[in-house]
Amino acid sequence: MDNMRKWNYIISLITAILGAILIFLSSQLGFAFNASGPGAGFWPGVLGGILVVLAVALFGTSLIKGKGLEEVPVVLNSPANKRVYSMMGIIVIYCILLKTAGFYLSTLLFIPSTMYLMEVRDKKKLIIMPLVTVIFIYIVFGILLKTKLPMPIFMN
Amino acid sequence: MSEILAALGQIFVPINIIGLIFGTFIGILIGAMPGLSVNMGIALLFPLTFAFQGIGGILMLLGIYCGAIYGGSISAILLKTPGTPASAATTLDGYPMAVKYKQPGRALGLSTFGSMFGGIFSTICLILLAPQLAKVALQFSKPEYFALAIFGISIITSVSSGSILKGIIGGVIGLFISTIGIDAMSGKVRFTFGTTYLMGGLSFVPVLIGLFAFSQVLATMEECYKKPYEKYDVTINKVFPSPSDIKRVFVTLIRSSFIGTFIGCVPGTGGDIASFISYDQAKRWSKYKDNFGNGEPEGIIAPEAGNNAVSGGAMIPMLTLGIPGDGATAIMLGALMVQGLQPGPLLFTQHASSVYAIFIGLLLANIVMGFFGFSLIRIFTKVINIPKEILLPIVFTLTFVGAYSYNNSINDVFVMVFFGFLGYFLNKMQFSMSAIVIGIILGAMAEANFRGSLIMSDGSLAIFITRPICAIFLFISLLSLLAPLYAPFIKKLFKKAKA
Repeated sequence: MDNMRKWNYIISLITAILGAILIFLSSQLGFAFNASGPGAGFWPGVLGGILVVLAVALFGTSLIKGKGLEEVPVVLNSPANKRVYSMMGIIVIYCILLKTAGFYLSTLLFIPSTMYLMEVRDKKKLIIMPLVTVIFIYIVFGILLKTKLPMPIFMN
Repeated sequence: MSEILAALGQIFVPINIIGLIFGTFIGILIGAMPGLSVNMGIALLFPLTFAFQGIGGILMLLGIYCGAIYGGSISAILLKTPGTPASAATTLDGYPMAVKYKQPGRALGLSTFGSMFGGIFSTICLILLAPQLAKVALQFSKPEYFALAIFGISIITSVSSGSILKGIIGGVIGLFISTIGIDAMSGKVRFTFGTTYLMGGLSFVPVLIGLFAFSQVLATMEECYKKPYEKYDVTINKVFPSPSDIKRVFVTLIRSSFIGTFIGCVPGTGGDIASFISYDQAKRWSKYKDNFGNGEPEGIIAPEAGNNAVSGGAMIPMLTLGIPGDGATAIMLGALMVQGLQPGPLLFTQHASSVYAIFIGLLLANIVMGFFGFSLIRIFTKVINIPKEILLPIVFTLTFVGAYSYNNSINDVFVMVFFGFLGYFLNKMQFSMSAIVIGIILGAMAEANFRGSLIMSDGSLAIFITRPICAIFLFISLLSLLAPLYAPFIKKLFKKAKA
């Protein structure tokens, strides 16, 4: 099983890389002090440097004092997690559908998909809940608050 | 006097009063449902505030804030599951009184009374103290504001995270996110990677909804996996506390309200810390110590008065210094800025009527919360029975609507989803979402004042040490960040001194 100590090493590495990239990109913006003060890259460069220092500190503390962290499990592959990953997949598809099929049609598919993933099998609930939700959102956001939600591309 | 009258004129507009009442009602519902938090409720409903003119949206958020903190006590008392972390201490005596002694009405009545009293008490403190602190803050210049921003970030990272290092990493990431877009001082474009969308920076609202609301729903989806549905039937009789109960708990009520207000003023602390400290102090000073944990009325009043008193206290640094006291006030800070109101000492001179409107609005929100708590508690108890498989898809949908409606931009939805996924994994790694959000909010203030200070001093960093207030804030920030290193030595010294 994964533990927090192992993940702290990974987080340290990612943080250090992020910090280094930030310093590099900031250097291209310029650190030099001029009439309008420090260059545009100065502050983000400082932040990048702090990230690198923090990454080293996190790595060091996990190495030296990290014995206790091995008792802290990090669960990422349980059946519960896999359900969340499936939900993430549904969400990505929903985002794509939002651009093409518009909000209302996509949501009529999204809500029952989510309910099905959460083991709802009652057909009445799978049909009624999405309809009620979409009608509610249309009344509150579409009519009362006059919010324009995404429309299908064939209606643009 | 004219500002107060102008404030009353702003508040007592039908749409604003409806917004306040609606916000309080929804806030109680959100707080009562385990799996939905105060921050999540405010983040989710924040986009609704764009439909309001002027202070109306802020009043609605105040209602949600007060209502949600109180609402957490309902499931804490009836289910032994706090609806929000701030109500965790309420389970200790609330649940035994409701279930073991079959007095759910008495327990809920005490919690409502305590919440309302604590909220009103802290609002009065806010009205008295905030203008005085604003006068002091008018002396501040760029170095002091930079130090304040660092102070705000450091306190929040040290208190809210499982690991201080990860808290600071989160805060720094938040500071970096605030640099994306066009640099105000030089006009250069930073970290946009050629996209037009990022030229104006990352929108605050989708990031907020992603980190606080969307990631939380994913986490709830994981927690409720394979948990069987249980329906709770509760009969509520008498709700308003009896005179004998009020007499018994009165001193505890006042003490806990003081504690909550003080803790609320300290950036980074929140209702959960206030409720436990209030409970602990109540037990220490009570004549009925042995009854704590067994349905003691003081054990319900103390955490509830403490956690709701945080609301007024947290608004003091937010309004006067622009430093949010907790995650919820961080979101409200964003809401004020969206409405063109920049928190800080100048708010009290340039928009005095809006400040008084916020004071009066908070007072009204607590009164409305108490009214709903005493009159509609039987309705709120039904909410705890909504199955997660119906609730979560609806909340997901509302996050999409909220993110899109901010700018009518599908890119904001993608940003929200990205930060939602990121927030889910960061939570698992013990990062604090509050630290990231505070970094984003305070980033612009920190950078602008840092660079402005260096211009004032011709590039010398000594300006941050030679100015006393700035030096003190930076010193306290350093102390809070290094606390895990020296705290064990101080504890050992105290133990030796006692022995």
